[in-house]
Order: sequence, then structure tokens, then C-alpha cells
Amino acid sequence: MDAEFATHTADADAAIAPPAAQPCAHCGERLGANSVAFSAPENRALDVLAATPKIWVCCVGCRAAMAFSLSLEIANAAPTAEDFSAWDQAHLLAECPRDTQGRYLLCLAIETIHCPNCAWLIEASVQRVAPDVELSVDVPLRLVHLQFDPQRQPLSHIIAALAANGYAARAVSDSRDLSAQRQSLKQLFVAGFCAVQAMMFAEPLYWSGSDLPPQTAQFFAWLSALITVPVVSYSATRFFRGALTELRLRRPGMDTLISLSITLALLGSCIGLLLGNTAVYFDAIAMFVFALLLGRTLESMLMARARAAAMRLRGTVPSLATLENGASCAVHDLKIGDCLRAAVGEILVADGILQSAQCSLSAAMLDGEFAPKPRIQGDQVYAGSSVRSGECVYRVQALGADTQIAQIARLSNRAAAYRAPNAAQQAQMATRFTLFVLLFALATAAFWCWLAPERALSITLSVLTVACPCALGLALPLTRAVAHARLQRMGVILLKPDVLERLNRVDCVLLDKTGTLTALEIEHMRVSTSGALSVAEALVIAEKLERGQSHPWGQALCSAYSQQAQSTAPLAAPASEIDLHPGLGICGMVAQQRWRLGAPHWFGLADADGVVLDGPSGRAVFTLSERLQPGAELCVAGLRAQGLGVAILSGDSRARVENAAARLGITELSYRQSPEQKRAAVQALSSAGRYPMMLGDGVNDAIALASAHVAVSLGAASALAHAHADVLMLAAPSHGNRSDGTDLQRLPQVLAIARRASRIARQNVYWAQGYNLAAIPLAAMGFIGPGWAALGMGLSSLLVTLNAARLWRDDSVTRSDMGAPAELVERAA
Amino acid sequence: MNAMLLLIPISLLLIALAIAAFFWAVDHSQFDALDRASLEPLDRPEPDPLEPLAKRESDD
Repeated sequence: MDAEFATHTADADAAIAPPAAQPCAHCGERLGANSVAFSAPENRALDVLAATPKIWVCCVGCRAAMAFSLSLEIANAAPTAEDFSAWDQAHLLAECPRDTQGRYLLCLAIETIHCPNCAWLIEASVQRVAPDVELSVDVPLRLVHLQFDPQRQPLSHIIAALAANGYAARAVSDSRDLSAQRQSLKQLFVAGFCAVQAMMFAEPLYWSGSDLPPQTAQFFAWLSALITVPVVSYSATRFFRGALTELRLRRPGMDTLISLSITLALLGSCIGLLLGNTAVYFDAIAMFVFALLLGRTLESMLMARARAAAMRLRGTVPSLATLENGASCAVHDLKIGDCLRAAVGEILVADGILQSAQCSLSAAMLDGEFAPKPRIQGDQVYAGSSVRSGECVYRVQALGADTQIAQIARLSNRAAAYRAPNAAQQAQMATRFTLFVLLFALATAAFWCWLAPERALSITLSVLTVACPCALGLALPLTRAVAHARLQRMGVILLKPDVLERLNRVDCVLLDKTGTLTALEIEHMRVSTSGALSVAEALVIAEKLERGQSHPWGQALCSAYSQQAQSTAPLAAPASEIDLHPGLGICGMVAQQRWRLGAPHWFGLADADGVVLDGPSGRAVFTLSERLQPGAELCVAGLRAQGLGVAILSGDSRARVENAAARLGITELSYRQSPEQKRAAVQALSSAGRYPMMLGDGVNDAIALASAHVAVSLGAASALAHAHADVLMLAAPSHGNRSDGTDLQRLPQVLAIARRASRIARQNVYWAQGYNLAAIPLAAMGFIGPGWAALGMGLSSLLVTLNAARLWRDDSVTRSDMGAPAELVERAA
Repeated sequence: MNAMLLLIPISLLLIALAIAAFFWAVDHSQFDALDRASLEPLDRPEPDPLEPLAKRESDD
């Protein structure tokens, strides 16, 4: 990208000083000494820019930001022209993450997605031109996740196929689609205001047997017609446009029904008006449009919140980095192997290896620990962590989509995507329902024409209006999206699509102990050695073996080492030939000697406590006391209160497990479990017809997690555990001035929210179905006037939306659990 | 009835004015971040508590 948006530093332009009166083209700041000029790139799509040759920005940061936004603007502008080749430009793809097969992952926002029908259409239309493209459509968030190979399927073809079907795509950036939001607010306001006025003007017409002179009645009818003009011509355009798309694709749906009702009412009323009849429905039309728009606006606001929650993970990594030599550089221009520097307070932009001697990092987003952790040269550091102290220079190993944080974000976004397993079937059903309603309306019209022709129009209108399945279409996807966003706000991320449903069935909870329920206290470490081994040496060797391992014991030993590091001569070479034995320990070569470090029973010391280091020159036993993790008691109590069975499944010694269990009041426990035994325990429960949820971390839990009904992994857990996890609990949003690691308390809350979500979803579906079933016959019999039908339909979708919005409230969770108001927390994070 | 003939154009005018005002407000980003309005004050830099005082003194 740099080549294309090159600055004029070397050529003659550099001599020209920036115009003093002109502000920075990006941020509006005054131009100063650091100002740089934007050259007009030789690109057809940027003609606008070429017309104004001198664009000045105040700093390189603004330049990078502007280059990025321009690259997106190209993408945005393209669909309006018939030429989509701008989508194939290399720098657009350079922004995209890639999967393991080298395919690009692109997220498109398509504002015209409304229903599962759309999802099916999008899939079908893309698959026709590019059968190899994998895509999933997130209906509630109106996003399409694409996975494609630009060599085989140029992006422009895919975009063209979408546009041909009426889906204008936009590459997702952080900025929201403000113009669409503003447009819908305006439409809503116009509809609402005019609806009130139309009703006011129509009021005299409702006075039955009134002494109103016919001319006056006519006058008011014309007035209400006049005031409805902006409603139909401005506010209702989105429904007409949707209906046109549906009809062109021969898949009539919700918008077709809505447009048909509006058109029919309008036609009938206009004819009535011209014939001098005062039975007009202009006020009903205005109200119908207003009620529909109110529902849609609320829905899109709720969705915008959910989308913001989903995007937050991605937003945590800044877009600008500082190179080792102090120059700044846009993140998308970085390459593997670049050396970056991050000052105190800054956030790392890539995964990499620490090059500087020592610093402390807090990786709260990633591993749930707020407390900064010391890192020394050669350690792995992760994008999204922030530097707390020391100097951090690191060599880039993974960028963008390959960073851990991006991988978590991707998994989570995919899980939130609503992808009904039978989308095609659903789409077909929606079409059938629409056709049924149309036929039914026709039959009603025919019947009433025969029975009472003067009522035929109003009753047909009522049927069409009342049958609109808006609420039914909203019921499930909306509830689901809100639930996902609500959990994400708590730092809980669902990684698989069906977890929300699975969480409901959980009836017992298995907890790992070390690292999950308890933490090791390195302050009270005791070391006993035998043979030629000194305590300091033992610690050095243990540190060499465990560095980079994620087991709580290993981390505790490393921390203990770094606390005492000043007094010990550091051994230069790290351990080699490291071999991991899950459930037992680790072995490797340190200073040409083979050492083993692990659980006492690996060494035949059944009665010993702690971990044992064993090698040619002696043996050491490390003993650490442990404390309960914050929130552990409340977690267990909360799970109990929900009627769930709680058990500990630990690889640790009997005494330690019993001690922890006694403090937590857990009676079911097993100790000295190998990974295989843990898995067998989980499977035994499953085959007994129960639905175990397993909470764990560490390598020795991985296979047990994989066989649990729902696997919950703490943020601090190792990467392997993540691979099997369904639910990831990241750092709880900071609770005021508390900054203590992961909050187990959220576990019962997660279950409560999942149950609540399914209850609300059920209520919504029952309500929407029941409403349609009950109202259609009533309307056909002439009991519901068009005005009431419009109101009822609008209120019905409003009710469904508001019901889903209840999930945002915190009353399933007490205030003390949540600490600070959640929005504040969001902001601070 | 004559009053009506006066009131109706006035009401139509008021609607037009209200809509114009609302459109103006929307276009000037008054409604862009509805769910964050309550947090906006927390984002602003702390105002200097002495500033209004100094201003008042200089006014005197």
C-alpha cells in the first residue's frame, strides 16, 4: 500500500510548505513540522483525489489511517459503478487474514440482509459463480464471512454476483455505517410524525353520523392523503426496494407482503378519494409504516450493539506500530521478522519473540490475568498484551489473522453467526407461507366481494397486514445475537455455534483444581534437595525446563525463579529435547544432563507433595501452598444454587484435593487422575445420560474437555485446551480497583444467561406464532380493522424485540457480582 | 371553520419545521451514539476548576 499512497518526500513537492490555513485532511489538526503530503495515486478509482492534488496530513499516523480508509472507500464506491474490479486490488486483500490453506478470510457487511431467506440466496448466488468459496451468513449482524482464493475466484466476481441479487457489499472496517443509521432514523421520524398528523386529520371522518358537511369531510380526507405522501414516498422506500428484490428473485417474502398491503391500501384509498368516498385508510398506512420502522430501527440498534461487542476483540490491536529504529509503520505493512518496539503502556500489535532483556506484560485480553507477568529475552509475547514496565523489543512471528487474539476473535465471530442448518428449507418455508397468505387474502377478498363488497377491501387489507410474519422472523436470531453479545460483554466468549443451546442442558459441573479453583502461592515455596544439587541450581534447572509451559506449577516455578534471579548466576543455554508427558511431567536436557520434573508418583513417591525434580546430580522437591482463586466459593455456591452437581477432577495429590474440596464444600472428588482417567470420568457421566460441563485448563485437561458436553476453558489456559473449548472465559471486565485474575463467579452467570436466552427465545416464538395463528382468522372474519391490524403487527414485533433486549439487563445477576456498571467497564477496557 | 382554515396550514408548517429540525440534528451527529451519551462526560478531559473563577474575577 505504501507504494501506492507514497508521500512526496523526495521530489520537488517536498519543498512546498503545507498551506498554513489548511487543516490535516484526516484528523483536522493544524499542520505542523511533521506534515506530509499525499500523492494522488495512479488509480482510476481515486479520481476524486487526483482532482485535488495537494492533500496534506499532519503525521504519518494520519497518513496510514487515511491510506487505509481510502482503500476501503474504493471498495465502498465500486458497487455503485458496474465495475467491481476495484475489489481485486492487492491492498484490500493485504488487510485480510488468511486461513491455513492460504485462503483469504473477508468479512462483508450487507445492510440488506433481513432473514434466513437472504442467507440462502446469498449462498446460492455466490456458489453459482464460485463453487469453491466457503461462506457463512450472519443474519442478525448482517455480515457475510467469506473464505476464498483470489487466484481461482476473483473477489470482484463474488461481489458482482451479490450486487446482481441486490446485495450491495461493503468491506467491514471499524467505523459503523453512519449514513444508513441516520437514514433509518430520519425515515422513522417522518413516519411517526406524519402518522400522528394523519390520524388527527382522519379523526373527523371517524365520527359516525356526524353533522360534518360532505365538503369538510372531503377536505380532511384529502389532508390525510397529503400527509401520507412523505410516509409512502420516503419512509416506506426500504420495503418497496426489498419487495422488488424478492420479486425479481421469485422469492416473495416479508417485504412483498408489506409492500402489497401498503399498495393495496393506497390504491383503495385513492380511488375512494377520487369518487368522493370518505372510507379511506391513509392513517392506517402511516401507522403501519411507522410501527414496522420502529421495530426495524430498534432491531438494528440492538444488532449494532451486538456487532460492536463482536468487533471489540479485533479492535484491541492498534493499527500503527513502532519499528525498532523508532520509525512508525502501519501494521498491515509489517512483515514476519520485523523488529518492533513498544513503550510502557503501549499494546503489542503482533505475536513474537521478545528480544530485549526483560519487561513485564499484561495480557488480560488473552489470558485473563491482569497482573503483569515478567517476560525475559526469548519468551513468546502476544498481540493485545500491554507493556507495564521495562523495554519491550520483539521480533514479529505472526501478524494479523495469525495472532492468537485474532484466532479467538474469529472463532467467536463464527460461533455468533446464525447459520441455521437448514437455511434453504427455511427459505422455502418462508416463500410457501407468503404464497399461502396471498392465496388466503385472495380467497377472503373473493368471499367478501360476494357477501359484502363494500367491506372487501378493508378486510383483505387487515388479513395481509396481520399475516406479516415480522415478529416470527425476528424471534430467534435476535435473541441469539443479544445473548452472545451479553456474554461477550462479561468477557465470556462462545466458540462454537450451538453452545448456547448446549449450555441449557448442563446438569453437572466438573472442575479442575490446580490453576482453575486454586492458585499456587510462590511466596511460601519450600525446596528440599538431596545429592549434590543446591536449592538455587534446582530452581534454575526447573525454570529452564518449564519456561514457556503453561502448567500452573511450571509458571509458579518460573515466577519463583525470576524473583530470585538476581542472586543466581543464570545458565546460558535453555533446555533442549523437551518432552511433555501429560499428567506426569516434563523431561529435557539442561547443561548436558537429562532432568525430569513432575508429579511425585512419576518417581514412585506416592506420599510426597508438590513437584519433584530428578536428575543425575540429585533430586529436589518443591512444595508450594495454594490459595483458592477469587470467586471460587461463590462459583461453587452459585452452581449448587442452580441445582447442578459439582465435582472436582484433579491430577493432584489426595491431601491437596481434599483440602480444597473441604474449603469449597464439595464432596465428590477424585485425585491423581491421569488425562485418560479424566476423560473416562467425563464419558462415564455422558453415557449415564447426564450432560457434564467441564472447566479446565492445561494440557492434561484437553482430552477430558473434548469429551465433555460443554467445555469451558479459562483464558489463562493453554492453547491446546482452547482447541477443545466451547466457551472461553477471558478476563472479567475490571471490577473497580480490583485486579485479580479470572473471575470464576461468572460461571453460574453464564449458565443463567443461557437459560434465560432460551426461555426468551421460546416466548418469542410462541408469541409470534400464536399471534399470527389467532389474528389471521379473526381478520378474515372482519373483526379486526386495518388500523388495528397495523398497530397489532407493529406492537407484536416491538414486543419480540423488547423481550430480547431484556437479556441486556443484569437482573439475573446481582449488582455485587457485576461490580461497576457494565458500560463503564466496556469503555475502560 | 375559519379558525380551522388558519390552524391547518399552521400545523402543516410546524410539521415541516419539526422534520427540518430533526434532519438537521441527525445530520449534525446528534443521534449517532445514543447508547454512549451518558458516558460522554467521563471521556472529556478534566476541566480546570479555577478557569471559570479566573474568568469571573477578570469580569469584575
